[in-house]
Amino acid sequence: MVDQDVEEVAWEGMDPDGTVARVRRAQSWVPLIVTIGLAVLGLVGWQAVAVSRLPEPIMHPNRFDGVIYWAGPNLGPFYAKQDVHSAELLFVGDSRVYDDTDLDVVRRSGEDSVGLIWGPNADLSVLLPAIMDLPAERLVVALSPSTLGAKTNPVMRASLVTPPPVFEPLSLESALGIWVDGERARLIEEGYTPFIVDTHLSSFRKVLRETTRRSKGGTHQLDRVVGERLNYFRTENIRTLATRRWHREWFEVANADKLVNACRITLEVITEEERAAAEEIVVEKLRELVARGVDVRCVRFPVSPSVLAVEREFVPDARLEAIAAAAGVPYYQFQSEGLPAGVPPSEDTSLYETRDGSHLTWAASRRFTRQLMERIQGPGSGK
Amino acid sequence: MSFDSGTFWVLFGLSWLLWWRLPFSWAKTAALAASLIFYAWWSPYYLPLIIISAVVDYAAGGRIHAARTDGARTRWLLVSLCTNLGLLGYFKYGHFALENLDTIAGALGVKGVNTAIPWVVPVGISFYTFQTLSYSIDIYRGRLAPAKSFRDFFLFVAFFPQLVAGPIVRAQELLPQFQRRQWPSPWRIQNGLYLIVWGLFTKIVVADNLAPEIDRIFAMIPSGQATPAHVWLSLVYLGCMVFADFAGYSCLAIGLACLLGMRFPRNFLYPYISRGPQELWVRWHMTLSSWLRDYVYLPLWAKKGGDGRQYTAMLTTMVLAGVWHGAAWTFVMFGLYHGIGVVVNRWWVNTFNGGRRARGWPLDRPKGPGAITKRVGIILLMNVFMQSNWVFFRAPDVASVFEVWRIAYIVPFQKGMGWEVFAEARHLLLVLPIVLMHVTQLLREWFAWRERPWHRVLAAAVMIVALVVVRRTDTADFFYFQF
Repeated sequence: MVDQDVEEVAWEGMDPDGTVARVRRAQSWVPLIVTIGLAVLGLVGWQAVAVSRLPEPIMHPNRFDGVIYWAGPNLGPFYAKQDVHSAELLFVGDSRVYDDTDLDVVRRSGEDSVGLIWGPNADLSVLLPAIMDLPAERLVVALSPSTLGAKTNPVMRASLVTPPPVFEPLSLESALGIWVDGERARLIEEGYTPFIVDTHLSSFRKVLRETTRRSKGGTHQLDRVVGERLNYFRTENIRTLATRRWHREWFEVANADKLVNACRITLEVITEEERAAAEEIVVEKLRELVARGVDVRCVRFPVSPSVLAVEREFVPDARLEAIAAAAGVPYYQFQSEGLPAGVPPSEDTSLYETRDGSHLTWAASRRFTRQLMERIQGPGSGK
Repeated sequence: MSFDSGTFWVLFGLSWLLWWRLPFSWAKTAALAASLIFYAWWSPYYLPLIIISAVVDYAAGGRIHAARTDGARTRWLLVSLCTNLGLLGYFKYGHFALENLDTIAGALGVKGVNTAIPWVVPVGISFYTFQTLSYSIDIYRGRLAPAKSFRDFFLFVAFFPQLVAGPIVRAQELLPQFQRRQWPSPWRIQNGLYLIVWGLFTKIVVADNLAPEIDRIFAMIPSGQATPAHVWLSLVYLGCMVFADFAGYSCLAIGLACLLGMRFPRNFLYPYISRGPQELWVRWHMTLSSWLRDYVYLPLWAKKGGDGRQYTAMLTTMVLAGVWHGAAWTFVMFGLYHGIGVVVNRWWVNTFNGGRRARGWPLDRPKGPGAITKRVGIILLMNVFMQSNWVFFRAPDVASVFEVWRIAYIVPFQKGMGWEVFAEARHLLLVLPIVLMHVTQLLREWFAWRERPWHRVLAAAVMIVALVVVRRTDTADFFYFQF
């Protein structure tokens, strides 16, 4: 791309014996030295002047991160991060749990064995029964209006009536391809448009692939490395260009109202009967967990004031508190004001800045996780 | 082991030291070992493939050269062709063929074939098989003498800077460079470093930052949230990303070669200033297009049989170019798309310009402001053609390609463009370096503008700062590794 064809005397000055050729004309190293100097100056200037003036970095999470966690036929999809089958501390809930809980911060707070199970608009009345057999000693449950009776992606639900087969690592891609082809035909037959089906299945393949690799031990490393370069999954391959985690992202700005309408739509479709039924199951399962000796904490993750207002229209704060009270578990209410319940609101709403109204920015998620861990590990935590 | 990974730079550092410190013969052995480690890092299971390819072609090359009859020469050439194309076909296109057989069987109502295959496409197979093929064919044509040493030949096949994603370096270009070690001058070292910084910048800063935004926009399409402006933005982003990624890799490879005192051919010449599909393929992936020209197009056309034969040869070559990129119908379509473009382009030149091009094409200079304005218009129009084609690389199937095109071309007349999207299109900032590079090249070509050393110094400093500042914690693979 850049000029690389300037003629050089070096090519005329090769030693006849074929060893190292000597340059006859001296050439200057000044450009290199000046470049390094300028770059160092630029970096110092950047650090001194620009960094403090940049907007809050926003993290771009991968929505399909983790491996599939089965709640049961037609119940999902949920995703598991880390080894949830051995984790002592388990976070469960919707995408807020995934986005807002920074596992690095959790680990730094002294929690070595931690896992996370989540799903978009995860319905706790489905998710909690599915995790009852896990050995976690402590459980953080994200309680919010959208986790009570929410309906997840209809295409995914239709696709996951039965779990896909367990794929063999060495024939993973072709077996996966066959499964996807079958699912595609079936879903299209059910009335979903090909484009929607393809998009969902192509995203979903990544999770299935990762799920197989994680569950197959020794060969997953080879598979992970080689599998990413398959021609069969062009769409997926281009996703490998996506950077999954950023320290800084300057190309998006936070918009606290972005998901207000989406939040309203999600809550509108849940009927009162469904919500009440979900509440009943949640209370029952939480009680069961407590009776087993599991240290359960219910947490309302922070959202923007506009999203909070919509949520309160459908489910008042008191109703969520009542669920925790009925189950006999502590309830921490982190709200958009950025302060735990009981603490007077301050003017500072940037403490838990959301990038879209429902999920925190990267920096805010770290702050939030620190505060959450202080509460969880505080007096009476059993930790 | 990607070029932007720490492991690679450790390997390269060691190789570089050994290359210059050991006696040349040992240095080449060390470089070969490093190349094999580099390849095996992806998958040691596919190491035998590259070894088979090298052994067969080395043997076939020698036999072709030594054969006294045309029949014997042809037989050995066929051995080489069958081995290379066989490996490529089996490993890269096997699954695609089985899938289609299965579909046909299903349509005919007979029992389908088992499409499950226990392998994945070996990294870089398209690149090294083309290199070894060119070696055998060039010897067959009498244009190349066979390599004297198997080690040198194997190093030509497996030389790590260009092994997995090109440029496709021919034996004529690389083998002579293994005869003598050429100590790089300070200029050459700095040039290599500059190319490396350039490559890393386009990959890490431009391509990797554009990728999530492209994903985001494409994810909006199924739900109908994407406006035509969204789609056009994503296509432009995709065009810049693919260019930045692939050209970045090529530059890295050329830069690494510079540090080893070697020369690799140029692989890109700012393709987005092309004035037609033919020129595009003169500027885009130049080593592939020149390979296809020399070994597919020219033999097919043979400069006889009139325009029809030429057009057929062009179309066939471009479809093959499309299939080279991947085993999927979207890539067949990609090839057809460009094939039709190239044929129409050639027809235009044949019909209206008497089959002649301007002297010095495509680097001919425009004469006067009118010609410059006309060219700028053509370049913009050509960019619509070029940016529209990138959807083939992103869409999962042909139907999705048409859906994207429908939103891009038809929906604007039904519902409007949705221009407001541009107000928030911050990623256009990342398109700016790509535009700037192309404009700079236009200045070079049209106005004989010369780059001064301080231009490079400034550009390199800015790129280094950007690389450090826009750092990342997770790497993304080079796009063209998959081909």
